[in-house]
Amino acid sequence: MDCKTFRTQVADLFDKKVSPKTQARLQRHMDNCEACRNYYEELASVAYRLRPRHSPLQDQQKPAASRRWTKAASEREQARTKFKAAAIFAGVILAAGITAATIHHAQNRPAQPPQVKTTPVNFANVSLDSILSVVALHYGQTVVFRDEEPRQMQLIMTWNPADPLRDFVRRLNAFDGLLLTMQHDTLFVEMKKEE
Amino acid sequence: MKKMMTKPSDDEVHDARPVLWDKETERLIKAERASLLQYACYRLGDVDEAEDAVQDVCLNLLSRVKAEVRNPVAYLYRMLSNLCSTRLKESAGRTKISLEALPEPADSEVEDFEQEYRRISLLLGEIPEEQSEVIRLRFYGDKSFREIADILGVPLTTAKSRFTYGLEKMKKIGMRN
Repeated sequence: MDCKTFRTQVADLFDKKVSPKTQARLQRHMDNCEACRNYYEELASVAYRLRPRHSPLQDQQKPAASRRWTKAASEREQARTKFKAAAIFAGVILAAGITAATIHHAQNRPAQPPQVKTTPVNFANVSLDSILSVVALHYGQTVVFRDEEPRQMQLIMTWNPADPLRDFVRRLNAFDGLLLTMQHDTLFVEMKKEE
Repeated sequence: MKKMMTKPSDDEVHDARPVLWDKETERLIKAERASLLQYACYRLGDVDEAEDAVQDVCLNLLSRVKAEVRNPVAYLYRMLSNLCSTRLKESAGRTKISLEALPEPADSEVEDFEQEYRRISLLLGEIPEEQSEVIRLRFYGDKSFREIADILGVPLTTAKSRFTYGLEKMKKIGMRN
């Protein structure tokens, strides 16, 4: 795929459902082309600003897309969303060759880190909470969410476990409104404050 | 003001057509109602007005003979889009948004729907209507690009390119400011 083709097809990454084949094809190009990766991340940051987060229909039945971006939700709704995110996440991880046991360990923060994996992982609309639960474990980091909102942000990105942590943090910080900071062995996550 | 779904519209009275409320139509409206409402909320900025508009288009659909409407979902959104545009024009004087009233960009701790609506309306107001409509249908109507193409009666590639151009343009505007 060349850059021109990528840019004509990048909208697919914002569609209601993205086919794994399309996702993988576009992701492969972004892995090898920084300009197109930056282009996508810029579009994603604008899209993030447009997502409904304060819909007055919060207490009513809503489309799934808006649920992803709504901060205030009932516990039941949160549990449902988490289950959905976990289901997607499990699929991604399994595809990357990491066992479900790793996820379980990630959520419970075991004393012993799992085996180091070097296979890149494609996260397709996975919540930041789930992404960090595995990534932080890999780097031996503890995650602290200073704000609750970023937890349910659904992201499309690739993580290569062979890359240094600072690269991963830099890429996450390219998302509009998101701020990750590293202090010793802790990753702090919060919404970027307006200056 | 809420309208009862059983109340016939002016068209129905004029055409003397019976309201068709079968299980299929009911299921369709039930399935689409939340998305229609959210779309209308982000067009009109008011829940009550959005509910009125959604009920109007649902009544309109019910008043049609089924065979007339080949794609009822696309028909609903097309009707709702037109109705919202008309109502916005009618109320332009009283609900005009001034640039001075523009709230700061999304601060999740303080922003409410009204501020979010104004911020998003101003952002979308910076790009051509045909592009903003695709974005609205995608994010607030929760429609796929295939569905959006059907609603707008354009090729799929056109729907996608309008979406991308719209985001690109807003990004450039954001960088300029």
